[in-house]
Amino acid sequence: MWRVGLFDLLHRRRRFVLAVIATSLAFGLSLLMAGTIKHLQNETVRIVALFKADQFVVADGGTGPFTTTRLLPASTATTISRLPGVQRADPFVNARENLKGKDVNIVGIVAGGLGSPEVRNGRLPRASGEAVTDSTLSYHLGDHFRLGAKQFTVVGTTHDTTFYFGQPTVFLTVKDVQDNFLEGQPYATAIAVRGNVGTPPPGTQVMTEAEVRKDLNRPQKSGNQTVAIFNTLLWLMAAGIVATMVYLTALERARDIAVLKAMGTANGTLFGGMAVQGLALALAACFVGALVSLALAPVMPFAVETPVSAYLEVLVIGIVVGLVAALVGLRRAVHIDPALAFGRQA
Amino acid sequence: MTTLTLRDVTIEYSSGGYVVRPIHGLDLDVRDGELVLLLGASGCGKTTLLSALAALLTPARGTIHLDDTEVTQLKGKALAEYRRRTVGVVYQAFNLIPSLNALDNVAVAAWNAGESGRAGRNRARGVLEPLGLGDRLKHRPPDLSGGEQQRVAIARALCLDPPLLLADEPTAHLDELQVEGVLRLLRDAACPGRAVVVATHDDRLLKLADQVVELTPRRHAVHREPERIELPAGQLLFEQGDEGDVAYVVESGEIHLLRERAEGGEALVQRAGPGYYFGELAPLFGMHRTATARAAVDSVVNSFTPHDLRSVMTRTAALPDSRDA
Repeated sequence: MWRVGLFDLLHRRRRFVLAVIATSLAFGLSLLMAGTIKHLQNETVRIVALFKADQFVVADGGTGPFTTTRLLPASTATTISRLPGVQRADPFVNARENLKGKDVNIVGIVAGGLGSPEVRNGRLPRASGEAVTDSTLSYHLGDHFRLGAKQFTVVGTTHDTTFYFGQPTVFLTVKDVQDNFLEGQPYATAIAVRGNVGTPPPGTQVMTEAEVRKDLNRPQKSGNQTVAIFNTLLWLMAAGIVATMVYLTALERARDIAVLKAMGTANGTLFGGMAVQGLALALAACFVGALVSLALAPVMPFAVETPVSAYLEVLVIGIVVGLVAALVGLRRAVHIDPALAFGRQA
Repeated sequence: MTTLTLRDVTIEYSSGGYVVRPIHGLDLDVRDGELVLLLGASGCGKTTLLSALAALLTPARGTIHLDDTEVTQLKGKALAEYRRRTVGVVYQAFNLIPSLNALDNVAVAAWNAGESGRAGRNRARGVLEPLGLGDRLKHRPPDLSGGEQQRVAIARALCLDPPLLLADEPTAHLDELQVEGVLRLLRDAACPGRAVVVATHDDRLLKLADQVVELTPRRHAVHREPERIELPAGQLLFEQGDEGDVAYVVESGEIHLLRERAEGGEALVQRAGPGYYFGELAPLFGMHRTATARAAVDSVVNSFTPHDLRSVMTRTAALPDSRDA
């Protein structure tokens, strides 16, 4: 009897197509948002992993190395590197600037030390006035740009070094960042450490990699929650569209359903026919929604990294939505009096 | 052998808060191979009775037996099985499923009984081809003529070879040419092992029938002298559901016209005082009394045939409004 539901759907193909388009937009947007959140989470993981550090030392009372406003002397790195259990310790300095109309992260690093990015083209900045830029800034080797009064030359490019809501990163020497953003004061934002610090120097505290990631994700938390709420609303919207479609079809098919009930069709069988309709609609919308998200991802202002799990999640939601819609339709069908087949009102 | 037996069947339902009882104490025997016509005007309960035979509604009273099966007691799976395999129904408006072609519209009966897609279609083809629809199998209802749609509907009803076939006004939407083919099919369907019950007000079907059940009592013009009736308070003049030959005019006192409520009890629908007339529709249109008339106080009424009532009205031309009872 599922055929009856399927043929009915084909019979109403225009409405079916419209409903698929509307639902697929909801599913597509949901996938894009899931991809955006995933990207924000991934970039946090990547930027912290880029430092290849086991621990980070920051000023006491401050937050994480990418969010704190409390500085510590850069020479602390030398002190720490002499501690037992520490193999290496390098200072780095964070700042923010606007470049090409974009907010960018400025990170001062010790070339070849902890925090050095993998350079795709060129090399790391070794001298004053040299910079490595993220590929999203679209600089090429030899390009120049100005930060404050100082001009920099791009000596290398890297990729996947965005963080803090997708902001690209410019890597300079520690000294250049101190000169440009700290008026030449020999301070660092944090010390990246390979090994185990044990007891940190006075006035400092140690953070693990996981604590740093958690701290960096903190400002994104409310954003992620908002997106999760939007996602839920989109799924409800999709469920509403599919359920409305199945319910309206049940309303319009009242006479057909009455005839089927007069022929002894069980409610379970009617549910099967409606489930075919709900599932066909929801799954078609999932498929088109996936295509929509893939098509729109390149033009989104944020990078989108939709994980496979998000597609599976939408698929499961699609199945649930289809079945819920069938239940809504069945609720209507159960109340249809089979005597309606003879023309009497239900 | 198929034998359909109805005993004291009363069917009632609620309409506007009042009880409507289109079938009242009906007895009927339909023998194997018979074609029985339920004849009557619109609203006389033909379709309601078919609904009860199809086990779509339960009579308020009485029994319906098909062979040894007490239809009115069927429930759950037994009821579904009865509707599925024991009774086939042809509806007035065909009621084909618009999204299915002719073949699938018939096959749906087989699918509903658990047959596979291919087996159902093979069975449907086997029913449709002898009906001359072999070249119309892939056509959907809107592409079929009225006669073709009705033949598909009959094929669907006969698909599982049920012992009871019901048809509701099967010629209502057909022209004369189409009627001929459908009548032949219905006549042929009434064969050993099957009984056919057709509800209609189409007189052309009379010659086909083995038995005709007139649900609207045929009234012949009767001549009755006007009668003066004295009613003590509380005396019943007639009851809702009774047949009636005469109308009444109140001479003195007060008659209450009462209608049975769906939730029980009676509702007063009219107080008929001196000069008021009522009860003319039952004899005029062969309807049952739609209300009960009872004297509220000691009263006197005069009975008239509809013809005589008209003469009285013409002479007096001053009678108050009447109430349908």
